[in-house]
Amino acid sequence: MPAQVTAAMRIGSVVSGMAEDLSAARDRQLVRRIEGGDEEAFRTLFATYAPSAMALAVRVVRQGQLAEEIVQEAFLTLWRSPGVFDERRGSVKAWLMTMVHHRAVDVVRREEAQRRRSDEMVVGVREEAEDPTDAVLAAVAAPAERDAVRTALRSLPQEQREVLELMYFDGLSQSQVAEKTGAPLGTVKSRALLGMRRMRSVVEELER
Amino acid sequence: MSERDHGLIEELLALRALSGLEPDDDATLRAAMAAHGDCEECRRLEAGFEETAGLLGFALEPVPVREELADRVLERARSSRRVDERRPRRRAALVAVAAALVIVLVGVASLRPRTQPIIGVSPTQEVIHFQGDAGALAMVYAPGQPGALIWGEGLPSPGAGKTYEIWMITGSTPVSTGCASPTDGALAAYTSADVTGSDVMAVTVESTSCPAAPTTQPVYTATLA
Repeated sequence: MPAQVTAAMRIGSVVSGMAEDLSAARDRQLVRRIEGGDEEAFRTLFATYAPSAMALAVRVVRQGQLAEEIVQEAFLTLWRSPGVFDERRGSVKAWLMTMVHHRAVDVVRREEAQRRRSDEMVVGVREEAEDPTDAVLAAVAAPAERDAVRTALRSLPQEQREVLELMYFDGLSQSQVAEKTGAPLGTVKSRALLGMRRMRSVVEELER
Repeated sequence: MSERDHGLIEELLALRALSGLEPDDDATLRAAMAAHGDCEECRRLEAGFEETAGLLGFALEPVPVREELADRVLERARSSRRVDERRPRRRAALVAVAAALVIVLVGVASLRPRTQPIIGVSPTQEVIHFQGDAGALAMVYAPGQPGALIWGEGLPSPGAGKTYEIWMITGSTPVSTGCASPTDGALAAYTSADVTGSDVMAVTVESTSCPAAPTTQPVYTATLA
């Protein structure tokens, strides 16, 4: 693993490890309170994660109004069905972001024609940047965890990072990624797997 | 189970966590996972990739949300809560409605065309019929309000250690509304979920752990108007 990733993980572990544990425990407690109908707990989770959820929705659908609707729906699901969250499967924040991501990708795929029309604009934006990740990674005093995830993304071989970004942040399917990059479908799959394995090792290191 | 088999599952789970999986491979993944049965390694891989994908979004710089958005969500949430507080009464009312309807529906559920009105249903309520191989399954709900009653007759047993899980699906995102098993082929289940806005309702056979995502193909489906 590259030294910069190791360093970022170390920072994440030392500086924010305990805070991260407390934060995860607090989130689980908030979900339990929401199960009991606690609106204040709902407000706290909303205030904590809605800005990140909004960032993800905007990034995928590229329309503010649609993104707001997606974020609302995800948080309504949290309110109405908090029991769906299974703490054995992961963290509250990842669960929330996964709900937002699935909804956002659904919107993108349902509006495929509109998406294709806007692709030219997206390509134009990308061409202006030296590195497409730069727009994503414009950090301002980011927490250690965010820093670590960003650093880990940057550390991926360019072709793996490209596949992850096109799928996750642009909502493209495996075939669409293959078409866009010109890589064979099997290559796209293996790049996605290798990239996710490396990212998962960073996440697991952070959670230790 | 061989390493190679887990290799396929791992690859497809990584793609699914990124939302990059397409229907054919999704079916392959479901079949492979079903073949593994109660597979701890599969669960570990699935949870690990889902967690990783969920955290990828935190690489983005947060976008401040408008105060009105928070207020709107909370107001809708409060509305849900008000409905929940009335749930015992509402549930009793729905059960009474269902009891009355069962007499009618048992006779007509599998016979009448879906477009034909059913006597006894309030104009504010909708009844939808599920399509499936055996028995009759229907759902009544009031559009725009949380809560739906699902009941059926002549349903096959889901099998030992299995249960029916009922999903509301918007686009390709399934959200579980709960699990229920029939007794002597009869099923009556209430969900507090607001099914309005869903595209499709579906029922799958799952383990009694009632998983958060479907692992098998639907055995009953119904399209909402």
